[in-house]
Amino acid sequence: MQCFLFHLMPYACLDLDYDKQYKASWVVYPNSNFDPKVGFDLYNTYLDELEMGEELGFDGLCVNEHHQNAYGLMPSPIVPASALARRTSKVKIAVLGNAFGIREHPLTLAEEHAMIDCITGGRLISGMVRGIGAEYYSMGANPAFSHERFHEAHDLVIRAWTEEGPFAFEGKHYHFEYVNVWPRPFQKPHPPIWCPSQGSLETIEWAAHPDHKYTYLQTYSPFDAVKKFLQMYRDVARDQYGYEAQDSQVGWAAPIYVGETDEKAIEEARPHMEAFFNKFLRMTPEMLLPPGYLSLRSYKNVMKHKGGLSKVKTMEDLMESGIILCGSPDTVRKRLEYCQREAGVGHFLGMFQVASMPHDMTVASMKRFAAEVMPAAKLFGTDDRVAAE
Amino acid sequence: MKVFLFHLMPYACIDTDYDKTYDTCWVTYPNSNFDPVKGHELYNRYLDELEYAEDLGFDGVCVNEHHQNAYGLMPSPVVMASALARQTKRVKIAILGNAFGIRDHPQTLAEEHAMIDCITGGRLISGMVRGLGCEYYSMGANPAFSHDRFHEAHDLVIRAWTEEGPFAFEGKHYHFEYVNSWPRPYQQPHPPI
Repeated sequence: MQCFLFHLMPYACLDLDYDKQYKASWVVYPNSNFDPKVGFDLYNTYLDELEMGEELGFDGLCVNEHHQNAYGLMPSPIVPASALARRTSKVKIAVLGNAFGIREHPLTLAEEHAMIDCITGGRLISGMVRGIGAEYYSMGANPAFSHERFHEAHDLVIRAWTEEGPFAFEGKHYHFEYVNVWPRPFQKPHPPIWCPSQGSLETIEWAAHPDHKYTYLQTYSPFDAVKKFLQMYRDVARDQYGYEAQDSQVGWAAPIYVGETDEKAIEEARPHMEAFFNKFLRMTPEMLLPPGYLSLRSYKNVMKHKGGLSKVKTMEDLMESGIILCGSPDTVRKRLEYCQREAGVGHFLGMFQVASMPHDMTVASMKRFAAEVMPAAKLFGTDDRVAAE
Repeated sequence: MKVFLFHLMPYACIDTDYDKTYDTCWVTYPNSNFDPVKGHELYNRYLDELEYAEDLGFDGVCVNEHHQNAYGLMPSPVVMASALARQTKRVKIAILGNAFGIRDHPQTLAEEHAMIDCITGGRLISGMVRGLGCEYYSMGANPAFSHDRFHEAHDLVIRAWTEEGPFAFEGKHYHFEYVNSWPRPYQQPHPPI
């Protein structure tokens, strides 16, 4: 199992009482609440933490795209990925992801990914996402075209990366007479594509397709749901497409805290984990899933598995559902081994800095993980694979 | 007088006889002529040169936006400015410029400029350009609206940087119900244009 360090770059000093006045920390929460001086400190602290990920031996560093919110200060993952490009020398840099289809010009992202891949000598992982519902408000985009545009933008970008330009692209949504991307990506035929998702059948079917075999990542889900959706990927690969999916085709992203003991870990992480789920992630149902964003069958499925997402969560709820990992190094190592065995997780993406968590605490947790969990975790699953081969 | 170092990041190993076969090294010059291994070396050499400018005492470093050509390998100056943000401490970083109006979502650039301005503690200079004519081929944009869109994108971006969000923007070319940029720029009221 590979281990990645995923940073969300939250506005850690969010006034936790904001929800007395505002219904979400997304889209409608005024940007007058963002203090650029605080932002300066946070961005540099967070980039320090990501750079430390390389020293600590993580396989990769992850950043993502979310607009107009205090949950994560990364409307563009291109900026931190580029900032990391020359500050690191061996880790993968995973943009998880960019919303290619929400834009009218997905080729600008194709160009930026190719630039970063060239600068880093092929260390980029290109995540492609539709963007969560809230993004469609921020970008003034129609969620009903979300799947169609995502697929068409993907096709355009893959062709731009792999076919000789200039060529014309005439799609339903995108029309370009000259597609001729300079530079082309460093990796051949193109950077690996990863698809973070909250459990969309359409995304799983698309990612597992033999033409793609893209890595599917389940984010923020009770462990039962993680297991179910990763199994769904394997079932789709076997039953619809006739091949056995590898562990490397599935992954799991989850908030994590490693403390000295179980008791200390739970009490130290509690305020930050609870703030994360109850305050930073808070958005209205119509923001999360605007009409047209999901098919009816996916909507039912997501509601069944994640319907409780809007309920207030205590640390105990979070621990019980397995949506987070928290405990002593020993507990976390055993839990990860169990999860890897149960769900065949090929990539674990740990979100170490959580909500309001301060720098010292984040670094202490990262160091405990790197010293006492990661060496074992990197071997989880390898015996099975060797045996299968 | 302030003295800046401006890099264009050309594809230095271009076959200079390319013009026996092609009209131009822009838009129609096939990207099969770009070798990513050489690109890797060039990008890192050029970024070394830009970083060296700080040691040499330049006031600032400059990067720009041009698509689909061997003249300059920077379809996005945001990538280069971001790469320089933490590798430099003192110099201004000037994006000269970004074509805000050629895009349908100029606020994505407003967000990126604000991020870089925050990361650098206010060292960003925001260049705004319409983009050369050939950019209109690369982006599939109508050059006849170039001035109109440039002005309207500028107004949208300045308002996004200076007015409290969320607000609605209804222009002739741009329509957004929620403008509420997180982050806002470090420099007040906004980076120099």
